[in-house]
Amino acid sequence: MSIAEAGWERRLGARPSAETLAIALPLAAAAVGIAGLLAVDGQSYGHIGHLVMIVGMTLAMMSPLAIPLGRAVAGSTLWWQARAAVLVALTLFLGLWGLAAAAMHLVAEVLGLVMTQTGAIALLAVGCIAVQIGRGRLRLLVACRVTQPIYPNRHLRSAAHWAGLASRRCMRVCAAPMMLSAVQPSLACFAAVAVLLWVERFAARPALRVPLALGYLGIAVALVLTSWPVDSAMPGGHLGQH
Amino acid sequence: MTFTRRDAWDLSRDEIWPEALAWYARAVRAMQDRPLSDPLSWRYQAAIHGLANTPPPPGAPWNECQHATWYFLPWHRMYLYQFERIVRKTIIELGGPDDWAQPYWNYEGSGTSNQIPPAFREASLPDGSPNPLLVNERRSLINAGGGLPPEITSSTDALNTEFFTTPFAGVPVGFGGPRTGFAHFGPAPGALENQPHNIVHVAVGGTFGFMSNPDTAALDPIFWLHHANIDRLWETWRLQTNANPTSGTWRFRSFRLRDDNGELIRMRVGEVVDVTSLDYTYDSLPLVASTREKAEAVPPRSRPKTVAQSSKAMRVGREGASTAMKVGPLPTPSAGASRGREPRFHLKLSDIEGRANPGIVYGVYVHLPEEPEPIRERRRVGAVSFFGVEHSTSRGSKNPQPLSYTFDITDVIQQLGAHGDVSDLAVSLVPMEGMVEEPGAAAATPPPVNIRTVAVLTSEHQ
Repeated sequence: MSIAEAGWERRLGARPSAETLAIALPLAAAAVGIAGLLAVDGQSYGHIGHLVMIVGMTLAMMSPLAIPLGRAVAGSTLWWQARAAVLVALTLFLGLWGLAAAAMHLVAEVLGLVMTQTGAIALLAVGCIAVQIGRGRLRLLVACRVTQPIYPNRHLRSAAHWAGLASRRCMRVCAAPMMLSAVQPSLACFAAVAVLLWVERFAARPALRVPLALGYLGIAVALVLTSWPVDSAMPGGHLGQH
Repeated sequence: MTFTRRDAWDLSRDEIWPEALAWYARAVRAMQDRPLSDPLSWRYQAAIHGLANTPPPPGAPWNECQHATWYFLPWHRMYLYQFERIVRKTIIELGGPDDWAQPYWNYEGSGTSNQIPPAFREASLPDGSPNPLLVNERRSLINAGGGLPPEITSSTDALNTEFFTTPFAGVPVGFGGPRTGFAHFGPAPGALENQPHNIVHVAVGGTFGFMSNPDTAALDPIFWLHHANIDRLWETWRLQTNANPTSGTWRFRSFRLRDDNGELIRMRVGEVVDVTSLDYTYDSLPLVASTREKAEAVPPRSRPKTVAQSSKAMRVGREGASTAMKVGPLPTPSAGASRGREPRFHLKLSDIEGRANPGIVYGVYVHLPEEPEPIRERRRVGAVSFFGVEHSTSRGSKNPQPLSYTFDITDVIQQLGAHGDVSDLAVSLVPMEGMVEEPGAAAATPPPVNIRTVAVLTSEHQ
């Protein structure tokens, strides 16, 4: 079909666009994550409860960051292939983050066991602050937005490759703060860390590094203060409670 | 006091060394004699734009030039403004006039204006001392008095761009560049930044010349005259019919620079959006029909859609490169699209990476795969020079990001469509005449630039 012959009446026009999918899918994932969080917050479901909470938190926190990825994939793909490419990219991106969340849960448990909850919080807070102040942070943030080619003859594989790279780059930036919130999971802590992550990722301004570092320091202090009775009575952090 | 920036060629019609350029040369030499650690030195000022392989002193605003972003124009205006004040102060210290203003190089002017002004090609100053305005790290043709072709110096397409920025990574391309945060090198140049800015950089610098690399460009004294011209073109665009962004994100962004006392200062974009708020003007700005504040032009709100894409990357070497692609069905227009107006078509070259600039200006052609060479010549949609491509890779930049370029190809698509079927398209990058230097040693030939995505997109009128 040639452009000259094409006119403006085209097939496939009635289906939801890739752009719509790129926004709707992450928002749906965020809703599921928040529902999971609310379901287990304040309940005593043990390890499974914490796992659900951390995976839910991860989906809720990462879904807004998945929207730019979905839109970029949609814009880089032939428009009639874009829906499938966006679906693959977002499913893989969020799926990899779900797996990472499970791993973070495990690491948080181990840290709490080997060095007390307060020690784990202090260690991760130092990590969060150090990466803010250290060089190369802007480089990592910019890398999260780097696009990849999507070739028409292998668009799903290209989309999967892009999602894999994006999630890896995203984890380099977000892993330490998310681990911090996984040590002692609570809605308030997730919300605070999510706000700092979103501000950092969407603003990408070097001038915000000090306020962000102070933000993580504040979260760490609050976590230590709220965990003190548990921590002092029960080495092993929240694992010790079960 | 208002300082008037004048065309270096108007100054040079009757003499090689007009007073403004002679004093500029003396000041450049004085600044070159200062140590790198001195914020008023030539090399420190160049390092603010970019300096590779030298860690900046604590707090120094080095490597902060803004490219391929909507901050490109205001950052360079601030940078040039402070540089001009430093040069003026140096000239006064040397006993020169106190009304010196930065000359500009209008390569689109008449006669020999497309050549670099003669003062930049002379071996010595009038007193017989070496001329600091002459640098050997330029394309040999330029120092020999060769002119730049009008196809690469033309600012017509840029000045005809209605809106300043676009949210969709440069599709369609805006006059000033895409919306980004702080971007030493962002994702896509604006229309004026690509041509003439980027192209003149590489046309002057050639392979491995100062001007071809952002990390050395400001070491060449012609850099500042080139940027004064770009600054003049921005003001010309604004005074014609157009308006700068009103976004607070843009206007309140500040950047660090050094003032003429060497002090670290911050300037906000909002302070430099028109030159009347500063203390200089140009000798050739258009007359303004109305001083009423104009509304900012808004680009189409619907996201462009990809209708054709190559299935492999293009590797662009000294000979250029070509690729072909199938054109698919066009999308249905959205409800908000203007009835009766044809969609626009854009060629996007993106995910571009390279370790060094080839030092070549390439014409970009969109044509049918089997079209003969003479007909292809009519299908030129623009030019690229890959200025800043070093910053697209992790080896070249502190925040690597692939480059992209966009060209409006609607006219060419309509021409092709009028002659029959355009289900197949080809895209070629061909070195422009006079823009390839003789190859040196094989080891010195830059590696090819990789264009990983070549695509045609449509956008709607609204």
